[in-house]
Amino acid sequence: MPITGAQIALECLMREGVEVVFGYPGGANIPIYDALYNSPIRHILTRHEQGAVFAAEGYARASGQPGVCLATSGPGATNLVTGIADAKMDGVPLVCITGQVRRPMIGTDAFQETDVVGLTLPITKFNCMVTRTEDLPRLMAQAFHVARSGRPGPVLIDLPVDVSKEQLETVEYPETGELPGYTPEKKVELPLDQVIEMLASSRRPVAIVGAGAKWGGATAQVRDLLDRLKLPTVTTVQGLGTVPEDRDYFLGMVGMHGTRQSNIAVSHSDLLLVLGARLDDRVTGDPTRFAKHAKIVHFEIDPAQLSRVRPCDLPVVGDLKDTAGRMLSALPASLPDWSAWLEETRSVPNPQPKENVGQGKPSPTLLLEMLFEMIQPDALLTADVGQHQMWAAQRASGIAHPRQFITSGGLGAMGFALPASIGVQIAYPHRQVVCITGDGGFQMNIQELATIQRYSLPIKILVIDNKYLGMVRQWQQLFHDRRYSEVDLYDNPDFVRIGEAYGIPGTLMNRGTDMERQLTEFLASPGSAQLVVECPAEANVYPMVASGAPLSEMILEDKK
Amino acid sequence: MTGVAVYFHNIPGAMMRVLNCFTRRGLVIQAVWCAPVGEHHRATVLVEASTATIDQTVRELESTVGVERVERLEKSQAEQLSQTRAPEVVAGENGSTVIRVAGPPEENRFLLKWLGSPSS
Repeated sequence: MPITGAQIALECLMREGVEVVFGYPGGANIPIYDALYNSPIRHILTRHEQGAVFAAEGYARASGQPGVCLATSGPGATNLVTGIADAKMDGVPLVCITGQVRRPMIGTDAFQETDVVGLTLPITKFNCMVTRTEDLPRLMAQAFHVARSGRPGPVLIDLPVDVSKEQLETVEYPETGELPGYTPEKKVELPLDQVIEMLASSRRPVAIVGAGAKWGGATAQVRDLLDRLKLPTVTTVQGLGTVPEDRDYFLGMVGMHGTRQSNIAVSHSDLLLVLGARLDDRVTGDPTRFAKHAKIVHFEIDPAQLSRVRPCDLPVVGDLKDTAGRMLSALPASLPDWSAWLEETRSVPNPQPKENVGQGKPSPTLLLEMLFEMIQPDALLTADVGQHQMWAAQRASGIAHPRQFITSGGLGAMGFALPASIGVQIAYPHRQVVCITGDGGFQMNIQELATIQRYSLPIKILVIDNKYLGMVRQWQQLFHDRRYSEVDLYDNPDFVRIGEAYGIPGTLMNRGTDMERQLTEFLASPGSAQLVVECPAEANVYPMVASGAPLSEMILEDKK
Repeated sequence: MTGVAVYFHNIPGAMMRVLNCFTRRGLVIQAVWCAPVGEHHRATVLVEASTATIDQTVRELESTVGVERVERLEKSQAEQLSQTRAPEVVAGENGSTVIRVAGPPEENRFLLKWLGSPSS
């Protein structure tokens, strides 16, 4: 029986184990939506393609499986771009399938034609236009293979509408998706003896743990290794949850808004054991003064991530699950005693968190502390981008697993959290999902409240509303003499009423006196709910390392 | 001047991905020659960049889907390639015309064949 290109695409998705896709239909992908009509694949209709791609990312970040999103040609495809770039930065497996105009029309500037392959070439691991229907099964298999393997990432398949419609009598589905010139599992010799030598001669080693542990499925191996080494350990934002908070060697988050203990330990170290972290500028501060006296041993699956901002002395290239496991096996029975160094790092006083109380309004930091105390142990949280993101990250060390705290780290894409929470809840319908967002980011994809309502997703939406683009305002306050330029959102709409218009009940919290009760009721509500927290306008995130400063130079509080 | 030879499989987008590794860093590509060489395609790229930037670019190229391997040209070879302009037509001896072709002979072999010349 003849089968259309669109049906082949869906068959490929099922062969890859895809159960759900996120998307938005349009002229050039109608055949795909026609095939979906009686397909077992579940489709989640978002209200904007950016919502679809962030939801697919949320699904992938929570489950570890590739997220899939569909969009039409032209504007549908261009609306995916931010999400694709986000997935590239954070190494998230994402498969985007875009419609394209008919093959004879390509290059004629046809209605809703855009060169999405050209547009997304620098922000995908692999992308292509399907020009022959018989190539579709192979290209789909290759796309999934590339998205999943090595350092995961986004791929895009551009499907002309006439390819989607074309019928083939016979279709061959490949066994594997291997493609020439792509060998992510290339075997290289591991210099573990050298690592052990460097460890043995180190007096002040520190481990930095990043996202590599969760994406490599290596959380257990990394925990075992660190339990054996017992050296001061810090995590990046994306590594939060990898190291259990109860370990006395765990110093917290490192970087621009990291703990003082973490940043001082890294600054004074003589050896950095980097486990699956990119060491980007938000982690290193001024790279020329980052861990100036330390040698760097970098465990990393993707050689492109090595020595990006600071040269590494010894790369250990490979899947962290394998390399950390082998490192543990290779360790000698006796290791140096780093307990005095650990004690020294722990003796650095962390500044007490400020409550950020002003005019009787609720403190956002206190509220987030309460939230992390009250959520269920396996709760999943999404955080948007800005002050609330860093306040939340600073309090997220206690989560049990790194997939529980989901945020746009590398790209810092505002508007991420709300649609991402949709994907997270779809992946885990029976787990508690909390979306933490700010008043700026919330309004970037606020239309996705409709998606939450449509699918009765019990997402709890916490809006930290300070009526400012708070992080930019903080920088303008600290580094631009309070010249607040275009950051004031005094005219925000009434978020509670907006939520209600979408069918999502909401509560306003505008006093600091009743926070616990309101938060308890919010979390206990059976369906989706919104809690809008009107915070003091000028609360800041501390500690903070100014852009271009070394990690050791932290701003701890507002100038008196 | 630095020269880098990138051997890649001619799968969709591979050549553009190769060039993007340079252009995304704001590097101006001085010259590029590209053609099938043996089982692969080879792009020979000339750019002016610091050693650290080239090191970073090469690592990224090696991680790029489709790229088989990357070789750095000797500095002298890169300099020599950067001096050539082509095709340059000059008067030869006995009223003949000489066409000088720039770049590595392998990437230029189609042009050389078309011109009827066995070598550069």
